[in-house]
Amino acid sequence: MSEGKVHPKNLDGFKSLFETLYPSLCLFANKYLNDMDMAKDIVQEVFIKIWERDTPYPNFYAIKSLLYKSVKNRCLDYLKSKYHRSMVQPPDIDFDHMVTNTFFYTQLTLIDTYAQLETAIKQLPKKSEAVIRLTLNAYTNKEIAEELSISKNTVKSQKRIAYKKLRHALGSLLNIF
Amino acid sequence: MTIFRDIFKLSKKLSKALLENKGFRDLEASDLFSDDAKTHIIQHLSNEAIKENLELLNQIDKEADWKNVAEGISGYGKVKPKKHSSISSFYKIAAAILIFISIGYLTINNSIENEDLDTSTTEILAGTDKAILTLDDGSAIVLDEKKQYKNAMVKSDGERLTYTKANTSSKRSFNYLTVPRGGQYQIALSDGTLVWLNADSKLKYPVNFVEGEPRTVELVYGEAYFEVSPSAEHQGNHFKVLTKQQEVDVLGTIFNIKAYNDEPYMYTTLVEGHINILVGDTLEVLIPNEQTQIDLRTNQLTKSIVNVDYDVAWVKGYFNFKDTSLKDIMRVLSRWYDVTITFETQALEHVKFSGLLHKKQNIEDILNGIKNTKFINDYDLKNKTITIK
Repeated sequence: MSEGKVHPKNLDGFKSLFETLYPSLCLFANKYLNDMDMAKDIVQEVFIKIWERDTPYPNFYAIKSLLYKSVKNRCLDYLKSKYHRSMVQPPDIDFDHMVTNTFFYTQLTLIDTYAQLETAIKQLPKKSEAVIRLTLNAYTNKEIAEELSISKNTVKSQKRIAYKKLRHALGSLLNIF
Repeated sequence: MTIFRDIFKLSKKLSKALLENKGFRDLEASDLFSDDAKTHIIQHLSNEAIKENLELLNQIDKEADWKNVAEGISGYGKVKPKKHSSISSFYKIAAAILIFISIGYLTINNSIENEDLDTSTTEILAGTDKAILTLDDGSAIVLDEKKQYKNAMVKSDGERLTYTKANTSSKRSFNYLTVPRGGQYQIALSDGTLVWLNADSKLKYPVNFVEGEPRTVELVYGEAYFEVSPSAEHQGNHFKVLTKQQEVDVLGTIFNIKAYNDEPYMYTTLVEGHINILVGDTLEVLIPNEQTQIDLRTNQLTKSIVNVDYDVAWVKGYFNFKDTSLKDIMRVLSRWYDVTITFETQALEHVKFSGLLHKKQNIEDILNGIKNTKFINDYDLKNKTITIK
């Protein structure tokens, strides 16, 4: 290990954790803060804090749960201190609802669903990716064909390819717990 | 903590339902949420909401923001360099799972674009189609992908051995097909039943089945996947697979038997149809997606429901692991790549990984992938022996 530098081996692993969870954590924080820049700052802080902690975690979902919990707590702290400092009445956001576990779990479910979808779709070849994204937007085969200037049969065959691959992706990639 | 596990499981099911355009049955059945919360979730899984949120996810610049975090970390590193060695365990595991999976996918993608992966740079090659056919008179014929073989009853195209049905089948003669480590092979038996044999496996079977008797074969050891031709086409004659511990009786169906001598359990997994398993005096009936596990020391049988995709992935050219210990993964790899694998650090045997691997992948790529997770410290490859450190 060279001086003043973090062990690169460990940093690689940490970076891959960051790249996997950072976007969805930002999206999650933004549900509390409604301020994406602030959301990013808070998530980055949490990652740095996590690096400093010296606790072993048994598996991936444990660290993932911890990250979401920490981000939630930091967001709520921030909201509390902001309203306290500025002495303004809490605005039209329902702060009482936001501190509940119901809000937390509901948002977590939604964000994780979006993230899982995105991860699975990203695995697809470019053409089927485009077809699937339009399908999710409730386009019919005919509309997809027009939008992408391809034939309806190509749309169908791209869908077949996509679903076959997605079954693989969803079968194992998303089954990692 | 289980609530998180439940949430992550639910969101996985939801994403699947969305992609397959199915309803939200799993959410409706869930007791995690009140009806109000469920309604809220469904409203936010509308096409518009999904589109908006996926776009937001894509707008986030991971690379740029990672630089901020890396700076924060190296700042910390300068102050307290001592702590480095001890803080890593949690993300080692996280990364282990992630990277292992991404490697699996990379390989699949590569293999689709480039069917012939170059494996010439390493002395350890992925397995190939090969087997030894032992005839009734004891003579042995080496079969491999470059060789074609033919006699009166049977021919091989290098990948599959195909028997033809004889007109008269009074004389009973047996052949053996032995697949070495680093091999795999298929057989079409004279009744049309297809058998895939995995590496390090041996099947004994009659050249022709005797009419009016059960069609019986024996899996001497190893793993085999059967697609049995229906009894209706063979005067109702059942098909039987014998192993040391059990007798499987079927009419026409698809199933997998894994019966290696160096493993503590034997597994029988049903894909389609139904089968009867006789162990000692116990009869067990399997329906699709059920698996029996027999403890080879005590002969004790347990039954469970499984996702058969994991058990039959090998037939389709993949290895698919789910929460599988490194020891079990290495056992599978050692057969396919014909290597010996030992663990210098015993504790690593029990680390669990999930992921999909392509069977044509170079073993060093797999090992490097696992090494890059930082979960294993290193590996050593010498004379077909791999040491995990």
